[in-house]
Amino acid sequence: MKKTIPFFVLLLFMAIRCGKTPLPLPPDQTGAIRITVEGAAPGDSIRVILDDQVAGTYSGFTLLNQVIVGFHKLSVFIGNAATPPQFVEVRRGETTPVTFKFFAGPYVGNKALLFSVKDVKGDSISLSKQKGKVVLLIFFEHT
Amino acid sequence: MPSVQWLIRTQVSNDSLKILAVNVTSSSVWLQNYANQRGITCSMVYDNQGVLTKDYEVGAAYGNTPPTFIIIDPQGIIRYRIDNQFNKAQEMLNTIRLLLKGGT
Repeated sequence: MKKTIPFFVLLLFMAIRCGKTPLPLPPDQTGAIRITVEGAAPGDSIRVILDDQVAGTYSGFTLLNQVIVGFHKLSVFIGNAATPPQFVEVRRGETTPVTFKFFAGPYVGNKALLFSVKDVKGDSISLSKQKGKVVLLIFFEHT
Repeated sequence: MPSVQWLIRTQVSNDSLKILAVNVTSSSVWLQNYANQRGITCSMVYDNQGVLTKDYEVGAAYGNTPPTFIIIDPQGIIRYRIDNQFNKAQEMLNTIRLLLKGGT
């Protein structure tokens, strides 16, 4: 008789818990990731993919809370351009900072790095001021 | 470089196309004389600190030997790039014209 009481109590307990919503993750099992994106123009929105699931769409930088502790793969999409994914280790109770650079390199298909230079006459030229124009950049050596 | 610049400049107006010639190995004074002697009208930049050259990954260290030609469309995306080639003026002209029409 005494041996079966705990068993019945257990069954009763499970019956009551069944059908309830999942308990929130305990705070000591999660951390946060702070994402900073370099090179996004004002108005660009970013889509964050964490371990192949879309975590959300944001403007500028963002803070992901309640991320389960462990190693995670993180990607950011800006418009159609994807930056190479990064691996993040999320630690208990800590915020891990991660930075993505939008500029994937000065090659066809990528955004050109903004520059501001002076020509030999002393005039200032910046790429951001050439809106609406095509720009031809020639790099040449001493001939 | 001068012939490329000349060919393209005579075909496309100043309002639609900005040409920047960046020199990587010489001095500012030399560059000014070079431009004057050849009647080059585009902006000449002496990349003193090598910042532009580094940002655009030009040079032996990156496997991209000059002369390097990069065409950037009005939205700021790089559409054409060629390194270590001298005879691509016509191709570049075609690309520029296409971009100005709003093509890709």
